[in-house]
Amino acid sequence: MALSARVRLPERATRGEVVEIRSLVSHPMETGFRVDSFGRRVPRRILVRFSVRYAGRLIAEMDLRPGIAANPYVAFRFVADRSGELELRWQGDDGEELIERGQLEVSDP
Amino acid sequence: MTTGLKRRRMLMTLAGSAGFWLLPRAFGDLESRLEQALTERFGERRPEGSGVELEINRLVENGNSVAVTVRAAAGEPPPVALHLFMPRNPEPWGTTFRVEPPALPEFSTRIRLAGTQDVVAVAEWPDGRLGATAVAVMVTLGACADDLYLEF
Repeated sequence: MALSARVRLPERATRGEVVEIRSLVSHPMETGFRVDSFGRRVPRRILVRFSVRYAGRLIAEMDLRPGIAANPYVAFRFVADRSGELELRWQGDDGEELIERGQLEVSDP
Repeated sequence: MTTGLKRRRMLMTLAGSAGFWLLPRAFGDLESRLEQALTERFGERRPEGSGVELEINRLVENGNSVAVTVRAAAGEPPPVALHLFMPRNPEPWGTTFRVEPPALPEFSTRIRLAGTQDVVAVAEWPDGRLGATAVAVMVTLGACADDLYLEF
């Protein structure tokens, strides 16, 4: 099943400004601990890694475990110090992958 | 003894023995579950002091999705990673957020809580030092309350 994400990326900022990234991915985050109505274990299927690159630098990387709710939401902030590409990437335990990109323009105050 | 009393006594005995068998699995060993999760992540290292803030509702109706924010207290150097543990969940290790400047040492997400428990946030500094904050969260309806956990 194709993954889809809703992300809010900053597009413009002044140098030194603190900006925020918010992201939400449609994903069941099936824990592997549940059993279905026939008593069979529902196999685990989760996103295991979320990583963010900003102007070529890895600035945040998150390990996701079954304790993260379905449709994982992650938000964090960073200091806009230069113009560059933002790349958000999610990886699942079954090899699935989703990448979202955006451009951040940073101007001098 | 009347049959009513007999019945009551038998029911109480049954309830008592059920509690005896169920309680230790559900509640008894949260501390050692947390200890084990910490050992898996940090080896011999243990948190000393705090330096990390954990924002989470203390009373949660639905454990399937609980908003949480972990934020390192201001100070230099900033931590390299923030961890979350939910000792009563089938897997106590919740998440690890590794962070580097210019990103700020904080993140928000939504977690599952299998039941009432102390949620623990741990900050990890570049020199290996750890700090932790725990918040007791009461959960009315645990995650997957309508499902049977194999483990629990």
